[in-house]
Amino acid sequence: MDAVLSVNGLKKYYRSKGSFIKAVDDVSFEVYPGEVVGFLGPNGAGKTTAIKAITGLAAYEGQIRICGFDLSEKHRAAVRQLGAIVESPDLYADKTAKWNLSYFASISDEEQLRTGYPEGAEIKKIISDRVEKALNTVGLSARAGSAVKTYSLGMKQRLGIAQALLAEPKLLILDEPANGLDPDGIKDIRNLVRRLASEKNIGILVSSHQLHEMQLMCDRVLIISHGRIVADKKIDELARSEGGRIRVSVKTDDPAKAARFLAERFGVEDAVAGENSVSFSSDKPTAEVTRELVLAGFNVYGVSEDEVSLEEVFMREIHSGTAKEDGDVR
Amino acid sequence: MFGKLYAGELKKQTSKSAIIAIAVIMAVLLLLMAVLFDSLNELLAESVPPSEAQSRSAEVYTEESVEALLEYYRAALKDAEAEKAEAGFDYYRNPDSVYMYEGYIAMLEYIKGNELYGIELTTVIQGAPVTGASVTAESFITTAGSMLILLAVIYASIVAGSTFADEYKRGTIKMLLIRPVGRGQVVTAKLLAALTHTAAAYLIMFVCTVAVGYAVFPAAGGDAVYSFNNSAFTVSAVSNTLGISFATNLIMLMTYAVVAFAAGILTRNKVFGIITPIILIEVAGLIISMFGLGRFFISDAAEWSKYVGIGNTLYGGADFFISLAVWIVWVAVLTAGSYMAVIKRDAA
Repeated sequence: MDAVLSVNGLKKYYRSKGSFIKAVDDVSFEVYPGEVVGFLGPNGAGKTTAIKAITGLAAYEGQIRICGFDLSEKHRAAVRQLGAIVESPDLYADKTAKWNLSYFASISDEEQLRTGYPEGAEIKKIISDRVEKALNTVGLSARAGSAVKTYSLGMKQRLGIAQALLAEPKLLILDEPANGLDPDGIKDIRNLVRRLASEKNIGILVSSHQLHEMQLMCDRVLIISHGRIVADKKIDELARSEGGRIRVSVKTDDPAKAARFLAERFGVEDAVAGENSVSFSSDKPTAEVTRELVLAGFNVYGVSEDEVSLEEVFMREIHSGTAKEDGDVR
Repeated sequence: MFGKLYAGELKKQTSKSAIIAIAVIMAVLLLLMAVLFDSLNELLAESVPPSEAQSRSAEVYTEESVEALLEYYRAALKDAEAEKAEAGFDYYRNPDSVYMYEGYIAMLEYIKGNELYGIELTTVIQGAPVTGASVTAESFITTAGSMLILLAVIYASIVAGSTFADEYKRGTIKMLLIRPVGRGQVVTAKLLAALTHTAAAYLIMFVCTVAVGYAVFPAAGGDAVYSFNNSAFTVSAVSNTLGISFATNLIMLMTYAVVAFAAGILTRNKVFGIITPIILIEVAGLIISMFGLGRFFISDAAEWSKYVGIGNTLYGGADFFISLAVWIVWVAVLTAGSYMAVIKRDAA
C-alpha cells in the first residue's frame, strides 16, 4: 500500500534573536491509508513547524510527498488530497458555519469534489450536498446557520474537521484537535478520528501533547523532541518497556520463593518480593509465566500487568533521544 | 476557481456595520457642506468684486479682453520666471506659479486661436469651476467630492489594509492557503475585490454628491475650456468636470488602496495597513514636499486632478508625465512587493 504521506529528511531552520534554531531537524516518516498516526511531543518540539511545512504553508528543506505528489513541485496536485487544521480551527467568525464550509468547498479542487457524484452533476448541488454531509459527520447540522463566533471551542474544532473533510481528502492532518476541550469533547473527536480512518480509509496525522489521548486514538506514535523524531512505534510496542519488557505483578502465598523461582526459571533479575505479591519485569508472555508458576506449585491469586503509561515512555524516549543528540555533538 | 475566490473575498470584505457607518458620515458631511455652500452663495451674491482669483469664472471673452489678459499673464510669467531663477532649489518646495501662468497663457491662446469670443465660457485651470459670483452644482460637487474622497480613502484603507492582515490575525490564512489555489491567485482576488469594492463605494458616494449638488444648487450650464497638463485644451460642457473629477479621484483612491493593501501584507498588521495611506497623505507627502521632492512621492504622483485644472497646489517641477512615471513605479513596486511577500514568506 502506498503511503498517503511520506516525509523525507524534512528540515526547517531559522534564526531567532541571533541564535540558530533547528525547529525541525531531519525528520522522516510515513503515514498509510486508514492509519492514525500520533505526532507527540512537548510544546516547542517542532510539531506545528513540521505540520506547517507538510501542509505547504511554510518553506522547508527535504522532501514531502502527498499521495505520491511532491509538495514543492506539484503543489496543487498534492494539497488537493489534503485536509487539515493547523494550530487552531480558524474560520471566518462573523459568517455562518454553512457559509464557511461552502466557501472553502468552492475553492477546493473540483475534480475531488466530484468524486462519487454522477457525471454532469451541478457543482453547486455537489457543494451543498458535501457541506450537508460534512456537517452531519461532525454533528453540527442543527447549528449550521449560526455565526461561528457563537460556537464553543469543541464545536469550532468539529467544524474545523468538517472543513478539512470537504473535498474527500486521503490525508487528514489535525494539529492539537483536542486542545482546550472537555472530556466529552475529546471523546467525540477521538471517535470521529477513529471512524474516519476505519470507514473512509483516510490516513490521519494527529499532533498532541496529551499522552493518554494519543494512546486511545492512534495506531502508531511518532515522538518528536528538539526537532527530531526520537521514536516511531506502534502503540502496543510502546507499552513495553526497554527491551520489550513489561512489569508484571503476581499475588501468591510465598513471594520470596516465587522470586527465586522466577530468577532460576526465566532469568528474572529484578524480582521484588512484597508481603503477598512479587513484581518483576519480563519479556515473556504473561500467560506463559503464570502457567509455569502454577505448574511449579505456587498458588496464584491474581496477575496484573502494570500499565506503562505513555508518559513514562515519552520521558524515556525523549531522554534517550537527548542523550543520543548530546552524543552526536561530542 | 478565480471567480469563486474573488466572490468570497468580496463577501469577506463587506461588513454591514462599516457600510452603515460610512453612509451616516457621508450624509452628515454632505448636509453640512450643502448648508455651508448655501450661506457662501448668499455672501457671494452680496458682494465680491471680480478679482484675479476669479479669472477662472465664466466670462464672455472678446478679442480685446483676451489680449489684455495675455499681456497681464505674460508679465506675471516673467516675474515668476525671475523668481524661479532666484529661488534655486526653493522652487521645488513651493507652488509652481510658472506652470500656472503658462497654463493661463496657453489657454488664452487657445481661446484666441479658436476665436471663442462672445460666448459664456468657464475656464478650468486651477480649482473648481465657479460661474460668476455664485456656487453652482458643479462647483459644489467638485469641492464636496474632494472632501468626500478623504472619507473614501479611509474606507478603502480599512478594506484594503485589513484584507490580508485580518486573515493573518485570525489564522484563516492557513485555511485559505492549504487549498489547491495559487498564492498569487489569492493576492489577485483580494486586490481586485478591494479595488472594485472601494470603487463601487466611491461611485455611490459620488452619485449621492451629484444628486445633492443638482438638487440644492443651480447647474452652471454652458461650456468650459479644459486643460490637460498645460499642453492640450478642449471645449466641452461644464458638467464634464464631474467626470474628470470622479476619474482623477478614483485613481487617487485606488492608489491609496494599493498602498494600504501592501502595508497590510508587509506588516501583517491591520492598524499599519489602515493608517499608512493616511500618514502618506497627511505627513510623509508634506515633509517630502518640504524637501522639494514631492513630485517623486506617491501621494503627489497619484493626484492627477491638478493636471486637468481641478486639483490643488502643484509644486515646482511638476509635470503630468513625471507624475505618471513616478506613479507607475510606485504602484508596480508596491504590487510586486505584495505578491512577493505572500508567495515567498511562510504563511504562518
